[in-house]
Amino acid sequence: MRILVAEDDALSRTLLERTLQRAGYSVVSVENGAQAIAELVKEDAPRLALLDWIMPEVDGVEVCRELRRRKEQAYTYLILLSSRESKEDIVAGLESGADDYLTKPFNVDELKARLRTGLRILELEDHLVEARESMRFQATHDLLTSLWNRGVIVELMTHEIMRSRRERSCTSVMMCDIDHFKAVNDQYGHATGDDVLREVALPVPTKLEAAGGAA
Amino acid sequence: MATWGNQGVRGVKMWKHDRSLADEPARQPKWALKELMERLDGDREFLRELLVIFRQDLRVNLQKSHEAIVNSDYEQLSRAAHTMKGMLRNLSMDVAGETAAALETASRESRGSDSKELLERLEKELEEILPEVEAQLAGVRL
Repeated sequence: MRILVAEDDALSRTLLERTLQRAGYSVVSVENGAQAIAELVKEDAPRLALLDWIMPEVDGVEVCRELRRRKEQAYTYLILLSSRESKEDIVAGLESGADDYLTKPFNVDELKARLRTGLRILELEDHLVEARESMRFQATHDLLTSLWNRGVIVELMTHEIMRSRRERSCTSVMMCDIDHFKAVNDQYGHATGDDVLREVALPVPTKLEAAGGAA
Repeated sequence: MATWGNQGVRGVKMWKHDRSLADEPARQPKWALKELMERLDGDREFLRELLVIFRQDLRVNLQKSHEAIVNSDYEQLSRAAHTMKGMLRNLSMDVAGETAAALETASRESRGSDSKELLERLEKELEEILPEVEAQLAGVRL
């Protein structure tokens, strides 16, 4: 698992790097908040980050705020590191969007345990996203052919017809049918019939992709 | 359990940011090297690596602190004290770490004479530690 460490103090950074490497993490290190943001918004960015609170220019709290403003990317688990330790500081840190908070000098076992918590949260997040995408697909596609289902195509057609009226243009609708399909089912059984439907449907979406869609 | 510093749970109780100038000298060791080595899994090469960074960054931050005192630049002084506090605590140099914490607090509150006195105290405490640091860098086991 890759982890980002943002720490301006070289000694603390070196200690963190080595501790995390020993714990099996692959570490990406930066020296300030601006570099941390640049790393964390990359496509293959680390999903775990340890951010020092006090850094020049952009501090750890601002990094948390900036990342939470960007909601389009995968969730990043953010831990703030600081020697600040009052309740007000902890509250302020967490309200900036941090998931957790660790006081310095850090306790190695506590750090590892909190990172494991972060990994569990990320795993849960990934499962939820996967489940949501799967449900979205199932709700909009035919289970057998994976083409759009009736509900979606009616919605799309309504939208397209309205658009064509508004733009005074045309909407084309093409209907495909398989002649004598019943004979396939009767002669070879429904399982083979399903295979035939899947095979027929397979090239349709790619061919119609540019034009609009298939259902 | 390995800890970065001679503190209790989450380092809350032992660190006194408001340590005053009149406080009794702390009874903690100047440098808890044994405890540090436990945390570093006995890795002396890594210790030396850290001490090289420490020696260099300490010099820079002490220099910055003196300049800040002369210029009454409490923001710079506070930043330098904060950095030194972190380094000292990470290396289990807890007495000097607490003095650096007190210096950070004093400079944040723009207490000029307290800051000056705390910086002097910090340098005295460091003078007691630095020969040990040099010995470690030279590879001598104390």
